[in-house]
Amino acid sequence: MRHMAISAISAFLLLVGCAHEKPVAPRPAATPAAPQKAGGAQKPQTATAQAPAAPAQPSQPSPAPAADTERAPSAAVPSSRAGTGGRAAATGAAGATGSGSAKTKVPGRNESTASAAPQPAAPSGAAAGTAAGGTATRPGASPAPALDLPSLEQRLRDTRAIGVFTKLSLKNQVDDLLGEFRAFHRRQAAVTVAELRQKYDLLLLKVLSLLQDGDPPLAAAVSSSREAIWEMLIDPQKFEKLARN
Amino acid sequence: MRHHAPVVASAVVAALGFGGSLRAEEPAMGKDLAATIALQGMPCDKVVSATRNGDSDYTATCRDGSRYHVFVDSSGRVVVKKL
Repeated sequence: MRHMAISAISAFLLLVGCAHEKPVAPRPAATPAAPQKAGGAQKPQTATAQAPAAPAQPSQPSPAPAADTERAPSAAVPSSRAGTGGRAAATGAAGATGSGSAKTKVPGRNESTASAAPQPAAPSGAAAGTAAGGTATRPGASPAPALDLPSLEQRLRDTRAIGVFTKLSLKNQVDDLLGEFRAFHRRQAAVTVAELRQKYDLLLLKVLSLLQDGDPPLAAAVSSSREAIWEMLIDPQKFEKLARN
Repeated sequence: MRHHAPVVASAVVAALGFGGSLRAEEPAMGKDLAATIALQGMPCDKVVSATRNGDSDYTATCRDGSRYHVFVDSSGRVVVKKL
């Protein structure tokens, strides 16, 4: 029984691990975000989709995306290259959170969900993007540290705060959200920026709620990456780069 | 008494080896299942028992008596169905 359980868990871990795309080697950090954005941007490469948690530099609270109801993806998005934090692996949740699994191809990027989020797959990082309510809501806050997507993704995948099933579930949800972003950028869906933001925030909240007790540092990292990841998701060019990666 | 000893021993062994049920030392799986169920938007305060039906396939019983079938389908998605 115990052996069967262990093998099942191992199979899950393999599933999450295999599903998660191998993170691309991190490129040199991008130019720092615009002054309004806190924190340096990091190449959003391996956004783990699992948990939409991508630790990004604590960007400011950008209320803009939420206010946009039109499909003006890049209009409200600062030009800064804030890295996406945690495309969870999640998912792990699913590692958790991010879109760890190979299936979850965050626009070109490995997403772990993470928290997020995510592993499973952690999920994944990309979704974490702009944390509306994130910690970086104070204008003029000191620049956040560069977003380390691969690291966040790995943390989401490895965290014990989220179980295998949960990581996989998060990864699934991150994958779904990424699909919506993809359809949004391709103008294949009538979803608005506000709706995407709401879904993104909700998913991130799920990741954070799972991490806050069991892995507070990771939860903080995911939370701080919210805005950066959102920026990467909502900007069509950045999203495309994610997809290519 | 001697005649009953093997029967009692067998019953104990059977009880301990009863397949698939969560044991006291596997609270993590119960929490994982509860969180998974909650992520799907279904109510489950706490998983009090779970039976492993197969690889990545569990039947969970919640404290309020609700029972859910939690499994990973062929496409790798976690599915939660209320029983």
